Amino acid sequence: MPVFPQDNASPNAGLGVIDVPHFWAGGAGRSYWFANPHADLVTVAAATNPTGLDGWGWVITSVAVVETGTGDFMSSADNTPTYLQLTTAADSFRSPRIFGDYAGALAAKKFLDDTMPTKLVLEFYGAFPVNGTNEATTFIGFADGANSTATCAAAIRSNGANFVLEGGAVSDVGAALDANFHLFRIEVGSATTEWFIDDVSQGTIATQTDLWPLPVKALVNLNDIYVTWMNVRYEV
Amino acid sequence: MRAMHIPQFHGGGAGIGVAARFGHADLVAAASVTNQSGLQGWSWHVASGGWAAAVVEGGGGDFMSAADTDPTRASGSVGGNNFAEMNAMIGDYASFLIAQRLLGETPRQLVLDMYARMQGGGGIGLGNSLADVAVVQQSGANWALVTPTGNTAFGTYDNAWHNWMFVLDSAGVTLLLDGTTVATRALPLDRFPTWIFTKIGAANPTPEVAWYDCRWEA
Repeated sequence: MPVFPQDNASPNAGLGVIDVPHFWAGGAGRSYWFANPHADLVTVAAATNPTGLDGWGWVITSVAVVETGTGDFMSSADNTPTYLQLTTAADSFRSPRIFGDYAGALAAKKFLDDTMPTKLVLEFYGAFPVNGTNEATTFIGFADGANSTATCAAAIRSNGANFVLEGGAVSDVGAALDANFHLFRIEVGSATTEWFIDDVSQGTIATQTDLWPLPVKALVNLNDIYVTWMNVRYEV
Repeated sequence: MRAMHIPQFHGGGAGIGVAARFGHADLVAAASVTNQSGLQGWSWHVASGGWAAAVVEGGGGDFMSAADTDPTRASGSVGGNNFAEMNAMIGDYASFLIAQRLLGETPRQLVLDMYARMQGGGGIGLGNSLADVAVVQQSGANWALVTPTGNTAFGTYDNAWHNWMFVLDSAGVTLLLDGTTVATRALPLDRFPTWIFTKIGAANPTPEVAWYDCRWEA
């Protein structure tokens, strides 16, 4: 298990960790969290629902939240988390477009002992419960649209048989598909982007250019995506 | 302080746990243009749960005294439903992974730490219902730790303020009353993620909670 200096032993421990999605748009930091989904978050913001994320810089389209609660304590084998559910064509969420450019990295540097980060990481705990269609229009990652050199830098999708990391102009085929929850991770470096499933490297693609900053975006068409939590962070 | 120590950000936030201090009636009033802090506009089940009809301001206690205490607290409503804080989000593998990242080491146990009192049969703990995960409540002249597989009675019931602590680890559920272990039971299966739970009793007001802190510990 890697230890993230931004979250414990660093002299900056606790600083620069934006631990609620409401403050992604306005918060300067090095680590950005979304977790503990609730229907209020994906419901239109209003006087009676100030927590709605579309009032805090997010774009939310028809996302549901499913609450279960039948897993075992701390168990990865018997595990049914509460999750964001994207199951109908055009369901999507899009964070503020703030990640991966020089401005974002420079802000993160302020919270990393004044050291310039070398990687941007997206980690999420999620699933592709319906995955049988080879399509570029169901994905999650650093992207603002489907498989395109103009909009997609690093997003995970299905090709009908395997998980794939899509980079618009390039792609990398990973493990065989299943419907289970996994820990997915995309690590964007200056030249190479590597991706992992349950801490096992799936391969690399060339890091894409002329796209940054990007949001974290998930979109579905025929396939489905579930997301329980996600963390975007800069690492030295 | 991390955002998860602020009750408005339990939904959507990431943390090593969640905490709440019930310090003002605005928290349990409906969210509106003039009351943006109302928790039912922030992913809580305050209205649907029928809990926390009032926040009662204290002020009659002695300075830092456990013996003479009168905290400001949320107060349960007679005739209301049992209460669960919000969506299930505590104790499963997904929340374990988040805590692992924020702690920088592997969590070993989950602790629910509460300052509360009960009258008329009310109960507090973790779960979606009384015998879902682990709740402490009155059992005749005694207290009882209630889990899906049964009850373990201990001590002598009273309606005084106590520091209740539930500790869940791979060995089971341990309950501490004011720092002393009073009961243990087997760990329930197929119940996670779960959430904070209070059971409404027959008398008024019950239960009352000044604060809670539910956290992963390495």
